[in-house]
Amino acid sequence: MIWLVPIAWVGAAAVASPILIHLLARPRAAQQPFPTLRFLPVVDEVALRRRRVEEVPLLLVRCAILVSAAAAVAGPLVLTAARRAEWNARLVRETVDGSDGDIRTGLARAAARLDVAPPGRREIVVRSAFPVGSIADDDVAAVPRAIGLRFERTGALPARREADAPAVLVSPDRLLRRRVTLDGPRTTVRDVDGAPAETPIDIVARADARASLAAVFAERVPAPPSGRRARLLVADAPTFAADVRDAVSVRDAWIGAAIATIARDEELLAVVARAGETLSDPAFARQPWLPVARNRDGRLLAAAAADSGRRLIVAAATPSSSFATAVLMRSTLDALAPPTRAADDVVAIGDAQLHAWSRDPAGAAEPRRDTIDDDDRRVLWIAVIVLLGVETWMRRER
Amino acid sequence: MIDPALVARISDLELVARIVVEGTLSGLHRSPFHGYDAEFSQYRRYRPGDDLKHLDWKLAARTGRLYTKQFRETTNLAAALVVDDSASMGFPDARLSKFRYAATSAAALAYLISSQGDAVGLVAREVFVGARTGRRHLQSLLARLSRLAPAGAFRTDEAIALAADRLRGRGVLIVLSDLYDEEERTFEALRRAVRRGHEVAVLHIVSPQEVDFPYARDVEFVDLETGRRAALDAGAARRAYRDNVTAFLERWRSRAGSEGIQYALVTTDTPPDRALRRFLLARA
Repeated sequence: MIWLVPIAWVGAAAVASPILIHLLARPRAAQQPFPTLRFLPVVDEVALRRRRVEEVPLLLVRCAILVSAAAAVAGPLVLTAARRAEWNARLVRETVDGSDGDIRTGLARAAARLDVAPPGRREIVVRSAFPVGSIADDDVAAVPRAIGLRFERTGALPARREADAPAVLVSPDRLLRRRVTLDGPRTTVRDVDGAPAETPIDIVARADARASLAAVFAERVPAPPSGRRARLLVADAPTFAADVRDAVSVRDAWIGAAIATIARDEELLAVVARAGETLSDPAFARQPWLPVARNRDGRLLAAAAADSGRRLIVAAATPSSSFATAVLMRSTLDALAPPTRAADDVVAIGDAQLHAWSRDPAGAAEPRRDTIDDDDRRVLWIAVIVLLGVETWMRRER
Repeated sequence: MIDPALVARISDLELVARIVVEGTLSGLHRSPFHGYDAEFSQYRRYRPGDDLKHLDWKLAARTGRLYTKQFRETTNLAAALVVDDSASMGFPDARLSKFRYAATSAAALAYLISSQGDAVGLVAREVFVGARTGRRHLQSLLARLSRLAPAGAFRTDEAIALAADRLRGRGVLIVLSDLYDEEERTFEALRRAVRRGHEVAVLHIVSPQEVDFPYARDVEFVDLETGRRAALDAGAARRAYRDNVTAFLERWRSRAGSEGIQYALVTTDTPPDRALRRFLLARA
């Protein structure tokens, strides 16, 4: 048995009132004319007037009335096997029409409606063509686990869809957000708005290297995720030798991936193949440095490692004014950003993914007072009425 | 048998008396009241105070023992009925009260005695009717009796003494009372009446409620004569009450027997003709 409004049991404290009434009420002695008092035992007036519980059966009936009323208000519900079976046989279903592509909002509303539904198994059926991006893991996770999920693919994919395009840096400290529209064979990317950004790369070079950096940003550089930063050491920088010693072994996967990306940059490889500069410091031949590019003689021209600040550090033998230095800057910046998905057409979420998200509804949950359609308080109210009748009869008979 | 409730509903006391007496006399062929003249009835052992002229000297000479001759009285019997009309006799209620029962019994006895040609008188709280014979006297006595109502206190001893004094010669004194007056005084008055040579009989009238005490829970008892009140748990007090009442009744029975007083305990739920018949048979 469960109680739908257990706080109502506080009302059972009212049972103290009849007890107090029985204790405090002075015994009412009926008057009886009698021929003589000589045979009556000596009367102990104190004993007669002492406070005591009178008429215990009547007191018990009154207490039973109050307890029954409190129990009725508390909403008793006997969880019989038959009742549970009835609930489990009932399936409350909400259907989400995702034809407009907004499955996310529909799921949340359906879950809210099922939360106040009568006891039973609960299920949400989602009907949509399921274009990519219309529903994600987070949306599925937001639906309570007890609610079953079923996905029915209906309708055709939309011909036109918009999505966020990766943001780009247009200067060392300015970010530009973009929006891509996929409309059949035509893809349009438009700038949305700009925002300040943190410079992802430090250039350790002579001042004339700044012009090369500005030229690279003018071509728009993919914005790297937060925390990914690089340091480019150019050979003619005054602190080159000191900075080289700051290198440490690579421990972050993204740094390793970035070094590999730079080493595979065909444009970079083509440019440095014509250069003759060499990183002559024997330190570059050892760990933690990793070769990135070699000159026309096959000697090391650029190497990379990590630094103590968990940054990618790239050292180049070319001077600040070299074109190869500018290309290395661009390659390093590109390597900081994860690879972007190729321009997508409108595609659907795969059946395997939908199957993975699907689940059967769990058994009926414990009911709440606002969702229950029938409880057992009627029996207690009948008991209260019967007891009231008994109490009235007992009062009149005494 | 006559239902006491039926008797209580009849207001004409003479009619009541006749009904009761007719029921009583069926099977009784002789007067139950013994006098000292007329037809010889029986011998009984001499008791101090008996008139010596009734001693059978011849029998004494033959046997060496003293016997008094008794005669069936015919015309010279005088009886006094002492009816307790104190407030306590009004219990349990006006229609079926002990007083009503006593008045009915007294009327029947008066009717019976008078119909034998004997004299009968009445003593109550504020009433004295001398013992006389005749139908008119009987009607007058019954009228006085019917006007009585239980109230106040009754000095049983004084009433007995008055009745004993006014009876001419030796007579019959019948007391109808609940005997709740002062016990020693009452008994002393009865004993004196016996000493004076009267035949004394007591109809001790009580109600079943006084014997059984059928009350429970807290009850405030109000004394009908004094107005004094006593509140108590009647259920808890029942045993002690019954013990006291039983002792009281037993005391009266044994003391009356020891003094040659005819004693009969009558409860008001007993049909009056049956009670009277039993009383008279005990005398016969």
